[in-house]
Amino acid sequence: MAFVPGQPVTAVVERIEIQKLFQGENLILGFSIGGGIDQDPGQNPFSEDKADKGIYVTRISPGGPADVAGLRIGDKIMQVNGWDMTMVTHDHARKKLTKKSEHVVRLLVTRKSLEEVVKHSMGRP
Amino acid sequence: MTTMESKEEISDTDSGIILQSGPDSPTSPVKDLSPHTRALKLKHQSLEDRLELCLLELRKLCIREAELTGKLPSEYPLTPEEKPPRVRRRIGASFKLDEGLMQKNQQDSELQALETDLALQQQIYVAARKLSLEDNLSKPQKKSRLLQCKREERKVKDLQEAVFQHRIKSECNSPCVSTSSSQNKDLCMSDDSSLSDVVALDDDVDSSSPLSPPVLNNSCSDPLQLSEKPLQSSPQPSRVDSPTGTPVTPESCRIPLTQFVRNSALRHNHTTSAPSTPELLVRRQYSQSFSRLLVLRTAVHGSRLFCTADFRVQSPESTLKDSDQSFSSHIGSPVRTEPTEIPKLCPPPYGFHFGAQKKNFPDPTKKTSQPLSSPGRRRTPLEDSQQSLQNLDTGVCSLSSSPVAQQIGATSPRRVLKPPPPYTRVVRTPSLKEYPNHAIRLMPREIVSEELKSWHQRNKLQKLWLNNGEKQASLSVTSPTSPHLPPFNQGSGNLILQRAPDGTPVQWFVAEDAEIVSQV
Repeated sequence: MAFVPGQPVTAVVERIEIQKLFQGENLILGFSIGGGIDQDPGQNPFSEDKADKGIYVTRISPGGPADVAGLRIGDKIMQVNGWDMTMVTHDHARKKLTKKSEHVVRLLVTRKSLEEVVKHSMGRP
Repeated sequence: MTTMESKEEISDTDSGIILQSGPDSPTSPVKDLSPHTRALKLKHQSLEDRLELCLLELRKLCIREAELTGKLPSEYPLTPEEKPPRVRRRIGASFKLDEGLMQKNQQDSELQALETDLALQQQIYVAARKLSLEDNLSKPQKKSRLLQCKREERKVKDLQEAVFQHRIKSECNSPCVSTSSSQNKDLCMSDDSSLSDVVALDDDVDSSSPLSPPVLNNSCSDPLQLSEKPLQSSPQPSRVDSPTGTPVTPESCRIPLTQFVRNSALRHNHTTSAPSTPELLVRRQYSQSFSRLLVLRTAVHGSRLFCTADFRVQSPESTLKDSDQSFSSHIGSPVRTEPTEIPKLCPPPYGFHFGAQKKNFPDPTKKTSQPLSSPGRRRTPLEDSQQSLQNLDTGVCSLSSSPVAQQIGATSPRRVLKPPPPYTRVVRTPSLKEYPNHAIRLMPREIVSEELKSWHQRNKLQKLWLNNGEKQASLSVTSPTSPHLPPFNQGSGNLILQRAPDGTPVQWFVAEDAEIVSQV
């Protein structure tokens, strides 16, 4: 998941579609994010590259919409409904996820295990 | 000009009538069609092109010069546009690593890798600091630079820690401890005030006022006095975080005290910066005439154990590299560091448990009879006034015995320390010969390392508690041996989700590292 600044990023991603849930007055997704270009990347325990300022999933509410949809902790979110999440501030990411007008978010997430799975599947015919 | 010329050409060929338009046309009379003129015109054109190129280059050079010097030179070519470009003074953040680091052929390649990493990281830290101190920064810029600086600083500490651990493990007995007092000075003045009672060593020194020799009996005093003089005359090796930014010497052993010391009063106090605690201030007043960084260093060597205190004096242009490299905690080795070190020294402490309160500076002249083992004893500033010697008392009472203490007190060397120039730190390893019956040598190695570890943990816990005071996150304790990955506190049920009135989730701080996590 390391990237070279200025070069296009390639990653194996998984599409995850999360239906937001009404909880009282609020629409929740059931997970927490961390990271962002305005945050300290060194504190991210999920990133391989400690300079990666992407948005990572830091917590999943068990049984929540994200959990049900297949989001996993430590996932890096690449896109939200088509909006790029690899080079955004934390707040920007949060806003894109919590739009009240949208009840579904389609995420593209990547995680290390995905790459390994692909590698294995390619390596062994 | 070109367009006018081409217009002229066209009109020449078309109708023979010269339509002259453009700003320059009135000046030139009717031109002949002779090739002679045309050639001249071509030459003129090419010269103008060259001039244009040269002007561009001049512009670039002027901008570069302005970046370096901070102001735009007068030669900057200004076209009819009004204002000169705004220049930003670039902070020199480039550095060169010490070549010696690369070529060292240590047996322990892991240690070498750690050390090179450490040197590199220190350079990075210095660069980050310089960047953060740049003026004319906007607020978010400044904030982010400070953050970056803090990050790099932490990495330096971690690396130093790792190097130290490694040395401990491999029973390395190579020299000195590097402390980074100057790293702390501006940025975190008041953060660690609880730890600031410790070594109140000032780093800015008035080189004009020599120290008065303490009234002590010491057989070793003379060589030390002698050794001062070379130090005065010859500048010392500059450390990484000195203003000139030259690379650090490779031998930098660390000890637990350094971490402690670093976070505390050990500040590279400029004369313009205020001390962080009143106690510091008082100490400063009394220690104004000399500067040293007192560092406790422990080394395990063979079956014996001892602590030595290192001073490190650093100045921008000093050549004390040899002494740094020759620092060693060899037991029984002769005082080979003496010729080049600043003698101001304290007798090695005989214990390892030092908390914030426990750094004492007993005046050897007055306290030879007092047991040095009292942990809570504080040296009052008044006692310092005369002395030129500071002792580090780690206050492990259980480990020291009174007679030994007395002996230490009695035999603590008398030194005359001429204050080094500003921005200096004294580095010195006293020879074990000076303390033949030191309590530490009677201690088994295991006990000492156990205490070291527990001190480490306590220190970290202390830091954690300090930082966690206001936050409502649950505590997670960092293991002392894995500094690199701070614990990530996964929000649990007891974290209160706060929401703004409009229902959007509000961010909260998780863990002590202030990482922002938003719940969506």
